[in-house]
Amino acid sequence: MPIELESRLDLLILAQGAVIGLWTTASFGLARHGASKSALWFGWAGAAWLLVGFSQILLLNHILPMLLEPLLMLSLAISFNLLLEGSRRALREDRGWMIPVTVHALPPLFYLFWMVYHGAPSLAGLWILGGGFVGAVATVALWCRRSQVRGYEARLAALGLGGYMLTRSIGALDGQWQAQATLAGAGLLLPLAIRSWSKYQRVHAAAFPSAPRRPWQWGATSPFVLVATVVVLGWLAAEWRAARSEHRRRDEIALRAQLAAAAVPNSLLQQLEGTFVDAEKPAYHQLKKLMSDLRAANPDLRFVLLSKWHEGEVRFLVDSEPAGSPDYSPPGDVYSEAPLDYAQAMREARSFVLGPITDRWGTWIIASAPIGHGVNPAHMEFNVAAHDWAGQVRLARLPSLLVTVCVLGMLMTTQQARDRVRLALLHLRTAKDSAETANRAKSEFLAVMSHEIRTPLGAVIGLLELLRHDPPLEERKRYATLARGSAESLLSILDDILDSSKVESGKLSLEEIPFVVRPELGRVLGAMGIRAREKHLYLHARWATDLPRALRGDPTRLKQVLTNLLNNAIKFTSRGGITVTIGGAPRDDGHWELDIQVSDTGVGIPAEVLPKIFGRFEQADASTTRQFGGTGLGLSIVHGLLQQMGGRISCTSTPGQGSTFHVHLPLPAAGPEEAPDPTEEESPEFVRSLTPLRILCAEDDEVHREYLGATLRLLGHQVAFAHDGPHALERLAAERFDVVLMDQRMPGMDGLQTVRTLRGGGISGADTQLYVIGLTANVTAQDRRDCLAAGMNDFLPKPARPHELQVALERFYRHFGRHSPGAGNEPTAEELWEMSAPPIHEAALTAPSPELAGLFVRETGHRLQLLQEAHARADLPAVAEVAHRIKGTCKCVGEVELGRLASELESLAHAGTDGPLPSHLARLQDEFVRSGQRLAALASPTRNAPS
Amino acid sequence: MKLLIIDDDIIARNALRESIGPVEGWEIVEAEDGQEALDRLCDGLRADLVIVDLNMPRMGGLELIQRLRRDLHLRGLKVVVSSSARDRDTIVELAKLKISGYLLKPYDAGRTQALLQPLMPPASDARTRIRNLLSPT
Repeated sequence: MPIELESRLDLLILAQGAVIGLWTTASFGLARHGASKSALWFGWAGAAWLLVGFSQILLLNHILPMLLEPLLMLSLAISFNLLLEGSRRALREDRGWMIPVTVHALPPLFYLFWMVYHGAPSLAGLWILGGGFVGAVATVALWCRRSQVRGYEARLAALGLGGYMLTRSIGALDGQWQAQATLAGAGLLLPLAIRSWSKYQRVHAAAFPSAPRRPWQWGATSPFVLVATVVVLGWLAAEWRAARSEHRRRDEIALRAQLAAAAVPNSLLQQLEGTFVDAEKPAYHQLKKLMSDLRAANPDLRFVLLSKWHEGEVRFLVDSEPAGSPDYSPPGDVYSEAPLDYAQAMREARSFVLGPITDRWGTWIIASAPIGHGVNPAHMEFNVAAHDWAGQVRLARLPSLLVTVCVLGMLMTTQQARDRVRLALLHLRTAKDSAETANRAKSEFLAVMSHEIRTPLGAVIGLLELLRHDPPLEERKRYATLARGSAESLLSILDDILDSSKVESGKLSLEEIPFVVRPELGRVLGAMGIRAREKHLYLHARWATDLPRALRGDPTRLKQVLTNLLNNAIKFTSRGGITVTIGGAPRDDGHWELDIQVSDTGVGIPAEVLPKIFGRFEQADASTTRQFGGTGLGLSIVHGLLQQMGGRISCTSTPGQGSTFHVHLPLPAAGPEEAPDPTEEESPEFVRSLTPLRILCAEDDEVHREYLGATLRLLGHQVAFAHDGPHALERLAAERFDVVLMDQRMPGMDGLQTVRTLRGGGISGADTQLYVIGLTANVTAQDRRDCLAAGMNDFLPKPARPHELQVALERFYRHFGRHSPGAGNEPTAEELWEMSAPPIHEAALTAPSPELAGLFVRETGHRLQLLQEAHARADLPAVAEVAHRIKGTCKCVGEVELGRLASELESLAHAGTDGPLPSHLARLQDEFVRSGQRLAALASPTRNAPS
Repeated sequence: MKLLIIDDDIIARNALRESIGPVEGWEIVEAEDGQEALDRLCDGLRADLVIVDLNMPRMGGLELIQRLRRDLHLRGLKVVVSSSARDRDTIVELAKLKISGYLLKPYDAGRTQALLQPLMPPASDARTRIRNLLSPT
């Protein structure tokens, strides 16, 4: 039996390759589904092994040994490193064990040592050292796989892989066990293949929740059955071909033996006795020569000989070996190992082919044909080495084998391709579905929105119509109040839409400024508390005691988040109330993890809607809109804002009992000096009695002009108007104003440009330092920066409510009034002119201190050097500039002459005449030396004098 | 009390320091140009008086004063201009900006101190009073 296995090594390798192929396909599949990062590496390791197996099959048939042998070694070595990388990643993924990447250097180092030790590269060395080491690591990695289900599968697979590496190492070490090792290897790898495949199937089924459920349509075992069927069919086909070829070869060799037998002269044969005395006979020598010639003419034959059946035993008559050969058999030698069927055939003097037969010379296929008749019958015998014979048979198997390999390869790749196509289809379908959903939601949103906008707009129009009919005073007031309320809600809807589109397009710019947490959020709670009380709800706030005083972030947006959440809570709660908890925890990196929780006792949100509430245009359902109103944008804005600020929001809810929204927002903590307490100027109550101001209002829109004029007059101020920038500048040049309200967007010259012109002093008669308040529709941080950079003092969002206008004017009073320079005792231009008159006696200057003198000498020396360099470059502007700097400081130390020279040099350089420059420079240099001496002399006595 | 000296020339800055002389309770801070001064003031430097040169790189004295006067928080700062030249138009412009004085270079210690003393808030007064209360009389 062992001989049978060994002669079928190629088929065994095929079977093992099929198992490895299954594992490889499953690994690649897992990698494609992103189930595990190590799977891809295992897949490539498997692919390298497949290449090794393929090379092995070809090498068995002595095909391209020069190319395939190094290829085999190389792919095997690479496969070990791939397996090692897979194991490394698996260990990191599952256990968090960090194995350094340098571990990859170990297997090659091992081979190198082996090679140096044995003097030649060898497969055994590769397997024992590389395979042993990597096998151990891979076993540990697979053993430690964190598998939620079927942990034993992983363990079994790990043991199988370890066992495989071990058996293959043994097989490589001793060629005699190679076939057994290969067979055992295929069996040992089977658990790994099964496990990978079942895991792949689970992942696959999860990825495709809709039918078809499995990568291959039928049954979980289908790939195994299919592969096994292909392998078995291939095996059978190979065996059949091999058997046919062997049969033909047996026939052919028998025929050759008969032909050769016919060629042996009977007369010579008759002279032999079949004992050692034959060796002396010329006939023996003639026959021996014949045998040798036959052997030489048929290179596939190892021995050609004549034998004879004599008294129940087989004796050699003549063989083809020369006398000196170790395989030489003397005439009359008994062939004692002759098996029974051989002896039987000899006795019956018939032609036969037998084998493999093992004797003292080796294992053989023996073809024999009878010669002569009657007196002295003999047999012509051809011996072919069984090894060569098996090789020929194997070669006959090769085509079927290759076809099988191709079929298997195609199966695997088809499977991969189908999987890939299916995955792409799935993605396409998901994308299409979400696009359709979004589209539908958008249409619904538009419908809701137009309704939402129409309602207040209709109210405004209707009420205005009523007002036109001049109703009694009471009614008039009521209509106006109602219309204002409707318009306000319209504005808030538009704000929501704008914010939502900004959040979606990512164009929202966030500030990062220090703010004091409690007052800022407290203001929102205060305002919303009023609304809650209107609905007879309570609004409780719980503040964590360790909440930091100030944080850095965008307080406006944070307030918007809280406002939206509270708005929702109040809207959906009819009984009970709302509890807000504000707290958090410090993080290691100096951030504070701000934690805001808003719980209500409202209608709650059904579980199936919960995941969708933060999407755009989503409300629990259309009836919600009908019942509670609103655009459904609030939560999506909150979500988007938080996302952009680096935070997150979550929601838990029990329908009928209420919902809890949870906001997490990490914000850097701000130092106490960074964030000043909000001053009372921002608080809602303000002083009513303001001194009347003269205000110029630059605004192109007539309605707005009318509105601003009425409001400002109501507040007790005088108002003048300008309809665009140039007109405003004209009026500013002609009249005196205290404050300008400037629309940012005007035709022709916009607000920013107008302010720039005013500040630039290009308008004679206008006060360049006039207080300007910008009016802008977009209140982003960038707009604000633009306004201030253009020279505006303050800005207001459009439309400016009366309250906001008043607060802004209040700001003007507080700061401008309090901080206006001096108390009116600043010198006039005339006084300044007097003050700046030069002293009458230049000498009255006190002598410079030694320190100043030293500094002067050092600095001026350095500047003189710069002067020389600039002159050397013929850079006249630079000469003028440095000379100017020298001139400016000479007077400070009383060096009038040096200053005069520098001044002359400056004017020369300015005039561009460089002729007299060198002589002037030299004079300046000389004067500087004298100055230095003078200053030194001046310094020493003044220092000593006071003591 | 803090005095901010803004001049691009180191010699001029030192000469000004010298002409002011050491006054107890006065701290002198320096900046090399208008931009640096503005940055430091915006960053929270609380100066009581600013002495600024007119010709400087990056941002000159005139622009600095204009920007200070426009700012809600800085517009009350007292400003003294120091320059080596004088020119009627500039002085008219400066008077509009309500500066508190003009120092012509080279600095004369007497004139400098006479100009600055009344401008600096009488901080030492309170301290002297307390000291007087504590000392046995």
